[in-house]
Amino acid sequence: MLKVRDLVVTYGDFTAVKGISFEVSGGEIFGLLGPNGAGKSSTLKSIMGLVDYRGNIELMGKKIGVEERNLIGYVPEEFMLIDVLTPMEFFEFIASLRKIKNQDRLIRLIYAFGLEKYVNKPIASLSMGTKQKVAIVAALMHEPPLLILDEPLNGLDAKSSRILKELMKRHVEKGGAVVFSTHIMEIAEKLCDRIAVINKGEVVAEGSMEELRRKVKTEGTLEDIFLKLTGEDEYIRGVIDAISR
Amino acid sequence: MPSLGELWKISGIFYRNLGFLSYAQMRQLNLKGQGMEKLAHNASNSLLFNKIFLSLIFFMMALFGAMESSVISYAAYLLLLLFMFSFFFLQIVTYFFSLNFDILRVFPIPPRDIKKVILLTFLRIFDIPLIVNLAVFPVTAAFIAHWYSFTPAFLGVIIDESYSVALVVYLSKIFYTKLSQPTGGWRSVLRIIYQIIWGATFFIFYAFMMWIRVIYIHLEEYMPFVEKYSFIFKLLFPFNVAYLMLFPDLISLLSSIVFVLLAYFSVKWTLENIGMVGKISYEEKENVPEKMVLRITTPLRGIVKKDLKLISRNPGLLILALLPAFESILLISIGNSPLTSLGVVFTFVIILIYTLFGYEKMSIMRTMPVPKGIIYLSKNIIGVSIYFISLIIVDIYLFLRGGNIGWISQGMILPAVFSAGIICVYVGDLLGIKKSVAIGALGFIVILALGNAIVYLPLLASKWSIVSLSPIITGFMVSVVEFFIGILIIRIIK
Repeated sequence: MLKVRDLVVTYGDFTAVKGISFEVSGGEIFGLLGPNGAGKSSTLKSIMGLVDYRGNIELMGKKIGVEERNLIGYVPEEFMLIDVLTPMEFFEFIASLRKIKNQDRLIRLIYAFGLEKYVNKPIASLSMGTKQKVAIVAALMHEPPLLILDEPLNGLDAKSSRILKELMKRHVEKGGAVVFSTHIMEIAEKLCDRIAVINKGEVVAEGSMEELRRKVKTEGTLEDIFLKLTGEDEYIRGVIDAISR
Repeated sequence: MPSLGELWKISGIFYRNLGFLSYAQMRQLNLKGQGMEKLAHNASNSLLFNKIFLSLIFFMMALFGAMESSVISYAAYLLLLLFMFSFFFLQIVTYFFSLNFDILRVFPIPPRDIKKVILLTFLRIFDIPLIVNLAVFPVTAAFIAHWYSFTPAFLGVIIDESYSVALVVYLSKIFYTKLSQPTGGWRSVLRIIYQIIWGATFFIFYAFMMWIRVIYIHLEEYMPFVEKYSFIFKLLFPFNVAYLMLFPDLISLLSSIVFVLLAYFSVKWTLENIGMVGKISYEEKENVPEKMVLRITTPLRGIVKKDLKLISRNPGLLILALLPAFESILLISIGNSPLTSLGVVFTFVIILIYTLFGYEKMSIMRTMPVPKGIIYLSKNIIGVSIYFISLIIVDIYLFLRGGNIGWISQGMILPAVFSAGIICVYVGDLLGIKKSVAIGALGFIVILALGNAIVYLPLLASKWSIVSLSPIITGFMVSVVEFFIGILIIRIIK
């Protein structure tokens, strides 16, 4: 469904993404895992056309233009909400832009995430978690085939977190695809069919949990695999020793 | 307990942060190529440049205010200063109260000192202009009038500053908090009323500034009036200070002391209240709608509806929307031609369109399946509507004054205005539009020049009638051709 080839993103002299390539098929959850500043968000922003990039990005065999944006639901890492509107007004605005005919799904999502209490309050007054729910509902309302979720579980309570994870699973069961970034290993381990570990703008490993385990020759958790791949396990041991002394 | 010097240093951090945030926000789209250090450096340079520019204006104002050794000149200068300070403070108040001073609460700094930091940060914004006024006006007055004019002149500037800060904090406390309250039913109506009052405050200050400038031009005419009622004027600020500078007597001295005391109390009040502004307390009451129904419409109408809400809830945008009519009436009232008002109305409309489009460039709109043509059109619908409404208001004013309305010129350029709006946003987009038009000066000048050229072209064309066509038809035809160029851009832009 999504093909990313030789993606390069630069900010002035700094290269955030150094030639990343990956493919995501329908029916799979693809996780981008990496430390802060690894280039996960820049990769996802490139797919959405929010940053300038070099390389090739195709969705269902086409370059992502204005029309193709309706095939994607995007939850950004930083809120792209309109603070002076209420969630209700914001949903009406987004639904109008997406030309949504049937509002039943949208209403069900509002109730599913417990937003009915907040729909008439200004977005500026909402907590971080509630804002995140608004962003999620706005991304899911048009039932797009591809979901791009940048740290979507940030700030969510347990109930909403579970709902979103279940929705992601059902989405792929129906043939959709999910690309999501996270730094929470347990979530990536439980949820993802395939994972790309990104470090310093490069994919250092890609595959299912089993494939990654084979690659680093460990039976440990994703956290162990990740730290080994990014070379941070040695560093952590050194730091802990230094603090203990 | 931190000393005043330490508090001043802390306020410097917030002040630089304020400068950085406003600079970064205005250039949000162009941040990618810059390192943070360079950006911080540019932000502080930009702040300094603005201050120096403002200081030059104040320098000239203080110099000319003090050169004319008369009660009315001194009083007019102090009055103008009061309104200018208030006007400039009002302009930055939105940015200012978005600073998070609460972070200081985790440090061992007493609450009263935190309030002092807030006040000092506020004062820092115009510190050089304030110092220029404090130095130039009293010193010049001491040379031109009497040596003893220095002290009252100095105190007059201090009183101005104290009152303006207190006034802006008071207005912000009353209005700005109300503007941010939840929507729904009568609250929406109330908020729009507050919004209009907030906007009107700007205009009243602005009108006062213009009016005081007119007083300067006709000083001599006002002189006999002030002299006739001097016993009353000696009791009022800033006339009492002006009298004290030139003809000191017991009444002006006592009255000035009273106003100095009031200034002292206004500073105390400001210190007590400055921490409260910007703390929006929303009602916790749950407001679950009985039936959830969303009013979904077309993308074009959706964007227009959203922008109208944005304008009605953002004091800055509302002022921009009201400014075309207000400014042109003001210009006509002080002797400018109605034709000038066409340009003024259009210029402010372009600023509004350009600003609204700038918002989209960094909003969720960039991830939506909406062609740019629709976005251009939506902004232009709002722009042309405001242009039209502003013209009607100006025409009513002209009609009441019995002036020449110029329907033909207005009608002739209406299609051109539509086109100019589209072309300006398109060119702005190509040039790498920024959110604010106030900073991207060069690109903005290009756009305004282009827009004005498009708008005035039909009027110019009507002066040279082509072959057998009448001047009006020639002008109208040029306007219609421009209109179709605008339509073409909307159709082809993706």
